[in-house]
Amino acid sequence: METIFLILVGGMTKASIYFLVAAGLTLVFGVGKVINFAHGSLYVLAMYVTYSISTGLFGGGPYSFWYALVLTPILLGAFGCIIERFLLRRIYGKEHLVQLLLTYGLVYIFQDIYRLGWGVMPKIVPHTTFMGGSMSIMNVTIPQFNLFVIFCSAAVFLALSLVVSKTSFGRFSRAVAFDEGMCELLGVNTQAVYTGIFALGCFLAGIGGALATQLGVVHLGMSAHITILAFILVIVGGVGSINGAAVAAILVGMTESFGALFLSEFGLVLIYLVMVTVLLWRPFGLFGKPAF
Amino acid sequence: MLRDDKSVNRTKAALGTALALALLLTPLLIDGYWLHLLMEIIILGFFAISLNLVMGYGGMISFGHAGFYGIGLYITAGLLKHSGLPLPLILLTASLCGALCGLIVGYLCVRLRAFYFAILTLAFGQLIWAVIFKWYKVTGGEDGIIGVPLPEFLSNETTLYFFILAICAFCIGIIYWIVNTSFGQVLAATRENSERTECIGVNCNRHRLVAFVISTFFAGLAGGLYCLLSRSAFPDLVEWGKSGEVLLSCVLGGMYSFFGPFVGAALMIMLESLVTSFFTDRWPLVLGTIFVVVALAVPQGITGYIQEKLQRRLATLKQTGATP
Repeated sequence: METIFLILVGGMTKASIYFLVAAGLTLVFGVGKVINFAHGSLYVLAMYVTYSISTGLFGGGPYSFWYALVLTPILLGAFGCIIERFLLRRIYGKEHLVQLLLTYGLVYIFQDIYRLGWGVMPKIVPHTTFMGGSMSIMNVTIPQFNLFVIFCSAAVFLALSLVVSKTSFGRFSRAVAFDEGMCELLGVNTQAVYTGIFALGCFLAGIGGALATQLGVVHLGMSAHITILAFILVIVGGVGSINGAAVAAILVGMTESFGALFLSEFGLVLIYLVMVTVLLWRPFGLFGKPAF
Repeated sequence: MLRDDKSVNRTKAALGTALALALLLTPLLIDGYWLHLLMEIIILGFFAISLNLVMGYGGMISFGHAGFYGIGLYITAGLLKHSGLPLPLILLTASLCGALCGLIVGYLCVRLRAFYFAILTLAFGQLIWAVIFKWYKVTGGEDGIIGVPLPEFLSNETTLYFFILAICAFCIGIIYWIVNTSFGQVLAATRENSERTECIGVNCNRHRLVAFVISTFFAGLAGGLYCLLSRSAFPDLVEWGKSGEVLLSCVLGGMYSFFGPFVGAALMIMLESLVTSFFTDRWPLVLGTIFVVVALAVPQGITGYIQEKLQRRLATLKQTGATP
């Protein structure tokens, strides 16, 4: 019973991180119609930036990680604006293959940037003392930080849903996703919407990456796994759907945790089984529409 | 227009003959590292042409071909090391296993369009990689399989070269024949407009699936041949990096010309050897930049670019009334 509960919390923690990454990707995908292979690389970049900020800039003080948690997403968002403005803007509406090539090239470039900037050794961000302890619920000891991650992710989910449904930016985004040409005719600054959406996606990847540094080490070989996982989540959840991304993240996070319990290393295979089952049942994802 | 032109055809035939002669005579001139490089080009070129059957002709972007390549690679390595089977049988097994996995993956993927197809094949390719990477007992995990013994008759490098050349040339010939059969024409039609093709009574998905299986069969074979060359098998060769490399070969060379991917593969390998000889570990950065530049500047590929220029040239020549 205790094991199950622990795995449940572990699965939810994973799901929270996955959701933060997948939500950004699904937005960029759904609104900008761009296949961004580099999204996972941005998440890994966020992890490295968090490492630098919390160990370098703030010298590893007790609250250094929390400063990093605030600063990293903002930096990532700003960086996202630059990438969007100078690279992605050239490939909107082009063939899928061109988008794949460009963003896949970015993966390679980022990979070398990590190596140049941070070296080949895995990096460990020192654990925070604040929220770094553990607490016991129903006689099970659970790290406080895991609960914090789950809480953060839930808050982001709520905030995103509100932004998309209630604010004017959200309305513009949905309109641009629906019909870009018509939006331009009506005087919507579509370029600004695209830039905003991409920056938002990077911002979310920044939050996810910053939080994830407290749960494991940062190393060079991470981006492939997280990128592919994020795409699986987006496809399982349905392109452009935040609810879909959340449900898919929980589904996959749980599958991974319980799979690790029963099949040890081959738990990964289960994720693909889930994906195939969902896609056979609903080819456009749980919450997706056949249009795109 | 260009295709009907007799002089262009004659040039093409002459180029082909020259290339064939060059490939036959090179082992007399070069050996060691350069011959090794040439073999790598031939294998990657063959792999790229097999991928292009799916990509250029079928219009399906497969980002998971390294998986099938890897299956061929590991099966060849394992069988050469632990069984006494004759080599042709081993290579056939490797290709068939690649095709079998291609059948399963293809069955699940061909119903999906464009980027869904790309992401799904990528996911399955990575699944194959993950299994190979984690299944330490059989595949050796990260350490891979090293010291694969070759049969007696291939111990000579020149013989190995001709063996690889012969198989690749034969299989490229088969693919060339396939794309020119009615099957190949229908496949291209499904790429151009699948709705119309469906309307005249063609089962598009079945054509896509058959093309995918054929392509993965040859991808498995390419992996098997690479094992003969490297005498080892590593999980790095199965990862999505390899899929991206061969995909870039196709695009760089030009997807809409039959030999374009081969040209792209040759460029890639030569560039890699050039870059790594100057800056040992900056290859990813250079490769990434090539990806970005190709995507932004020449998405139609090198051969596509040349063909465009030639066509424009011919058109202007015809307009001005001069004879080429």
